[in-house]
Amino acid sequence: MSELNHAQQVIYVYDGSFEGFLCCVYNYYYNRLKPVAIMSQDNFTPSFYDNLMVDTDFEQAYRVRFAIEEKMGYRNLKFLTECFFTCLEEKEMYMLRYVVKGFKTGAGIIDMLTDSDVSTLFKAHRHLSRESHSYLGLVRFYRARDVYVAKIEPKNQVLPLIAWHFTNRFGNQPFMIYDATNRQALISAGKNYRIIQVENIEMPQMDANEERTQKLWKKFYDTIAIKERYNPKCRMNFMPKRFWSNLPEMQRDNEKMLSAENV
Amino acid sequence: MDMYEKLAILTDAAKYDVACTSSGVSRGGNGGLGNTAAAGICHSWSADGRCISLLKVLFTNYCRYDCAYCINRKSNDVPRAAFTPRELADLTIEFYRRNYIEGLFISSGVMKNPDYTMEQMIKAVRILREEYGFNGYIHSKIIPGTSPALIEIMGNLVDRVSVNIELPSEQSLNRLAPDKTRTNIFLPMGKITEQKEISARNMVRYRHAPKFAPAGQSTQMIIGASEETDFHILRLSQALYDKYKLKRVFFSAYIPMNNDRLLPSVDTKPPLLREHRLYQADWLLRFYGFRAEEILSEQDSMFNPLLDPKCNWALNNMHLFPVEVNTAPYEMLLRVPGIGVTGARRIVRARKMAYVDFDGLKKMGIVLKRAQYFITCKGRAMPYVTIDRQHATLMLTSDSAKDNFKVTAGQVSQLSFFDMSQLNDLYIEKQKERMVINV
Repeated sequence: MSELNHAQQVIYVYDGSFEGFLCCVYNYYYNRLKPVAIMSQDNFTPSFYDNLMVDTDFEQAYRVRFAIEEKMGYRNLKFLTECFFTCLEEKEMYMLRYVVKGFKTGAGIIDMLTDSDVSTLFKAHRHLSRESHSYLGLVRFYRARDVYVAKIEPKNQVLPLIAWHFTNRFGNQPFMIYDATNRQALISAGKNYRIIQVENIEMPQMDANEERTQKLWKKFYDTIAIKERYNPKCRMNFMPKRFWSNLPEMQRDNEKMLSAENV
Repeated sequence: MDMYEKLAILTDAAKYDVACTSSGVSRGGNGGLGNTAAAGICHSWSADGRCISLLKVLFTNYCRYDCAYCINRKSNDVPRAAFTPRELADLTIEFYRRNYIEGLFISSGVMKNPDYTMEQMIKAVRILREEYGFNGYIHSKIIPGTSPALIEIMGNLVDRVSVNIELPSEQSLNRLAPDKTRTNIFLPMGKITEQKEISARNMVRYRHAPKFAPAGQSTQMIIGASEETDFHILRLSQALYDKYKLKRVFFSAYIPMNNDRLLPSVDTKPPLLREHRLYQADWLLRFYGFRAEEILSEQDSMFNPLLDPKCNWALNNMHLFPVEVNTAPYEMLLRVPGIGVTGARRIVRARKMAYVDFDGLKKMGIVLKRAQYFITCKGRAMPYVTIDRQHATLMLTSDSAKDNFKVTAGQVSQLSFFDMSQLNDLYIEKQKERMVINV
């Protein structure tokens, strides 16, 4: 970034949206202010550096978005859009450096896996896609009136990546998935879905006969394991404990129920 | 009998079936219920660490046959049950709606005769597909000896079909499964392959030609109940992939359930390491371009318990190494221990943009633990690493493996002189000790 003659160092503060981030990129090029950090309003903490409040302007965002696709191709645009959903610390700075390098290199930037900025983003992105894939299997719905609801606690923002899969899968069945980490909810009915930010949500009461289905599922879960092959470490590798609280099959009166004697 | 009890009996009877994959077919939703993903989706992991993807149950565990190794053989006194087609379909839908499962895996004991059994299974699948419009994954077993017409019907309804070959040779099959014959296993298998080819041709010609078993067919065999060598088993798998175009061959470590003079004694531990080695070799056949004859041979017919098959192969072919990561063809990168399909692809991607060095390999997420003894970057080996067979053998045998087998470093570096069968005995002993502590 050195060849741009930046006069002073500032912290960019933006609204936390992807469009907001694109406006930061716009500012970087047009206002020639080098950011030491890019922070979203929500986790902004005052410091000795000057702040630059970046207003989200859709016109500017569109221009940057267009330029990225034009210079680096759709693959990179998609990659960056998804990187924005990762839980990487200071992801905005990595993404900004990626964009700057990408404008010079072109579409090949995505293959520069030996570059530390690219590889950091690559790893974060892989973390996100792996977690999303796990959640395709690990979301558990229960019936509340006519809606199937589920709660998840992922590290990354997985909802945008899994939304279509579930909408496509359940056809006309209305459902909701609540992401407690990022306070987002996916609501879907028919062919449409929407992801909304929610402040606080109270999970609805499950239907009366839901317990029977969960009991059947637990019975199945316990019976399918082969005692002679008991291997809790292997299970933990695939399904770490952080997932357990939202899985009915892992809810027991006492922990012992999940060990060898009960297999 | 209530549903709860029935499910317990029929799950317990099905748990020894290995296949639980839901992969191989990508199909979008049709407005009704269900879709499938090509990669397959695991929904949970049971206490033995195996993934749960499908609702794996037997349609019934009543059985006319008397296979020595099977818990459900007719001479065993076990509780018996049978689903009705509707019960099974309803249960599948209820579980599917809650995202507990990816679909249904249906197998069965033999009621009356193979055709009657298949008809019952087809009824359940029909309710799912035609009445509920269920569009998710279904894997169905084909009972050996089923007539071709029923195979065709079932294949057009489900995603994957499989006929178990049960044991790795005809002699073992005759001895342990007297009611099954080689012919009535291989005939359906051949029929499925043939039907798939017909369907592929038809799909080119006609827009709405039905897709026959789009996720292909698989099979499984029991390891350790009979005397076949690893080489024999691996060659058999290779032949099945070549000849019948199978998607997967599954191996199942034999767990003694019946006290039978034809079988290993009841206190035998399941040969889990052997099963693991077979799967490793199976992957080499399917994704790494290896042939069974490269991995093992008539003289060297059992796997090395200390080293995985790829390391073992590489150490015996040191003249092909080291491999230069910046110039080696993709196929050769795949043969480096520690570099897999993902890693090799990443290297090929990255080296188009810049020279790759060891630091770069680490940044790409390539684990050098094993690979370092077989590669160079820009003509140089990793600092402080000598590329040499003896040294590599010693380093690649982990300390825990050495402990397990009570082998000294000296013995390891002369692996070829060390008696493999002795190692196996030691391994089994060690396994027994460990099981005692666990239980």
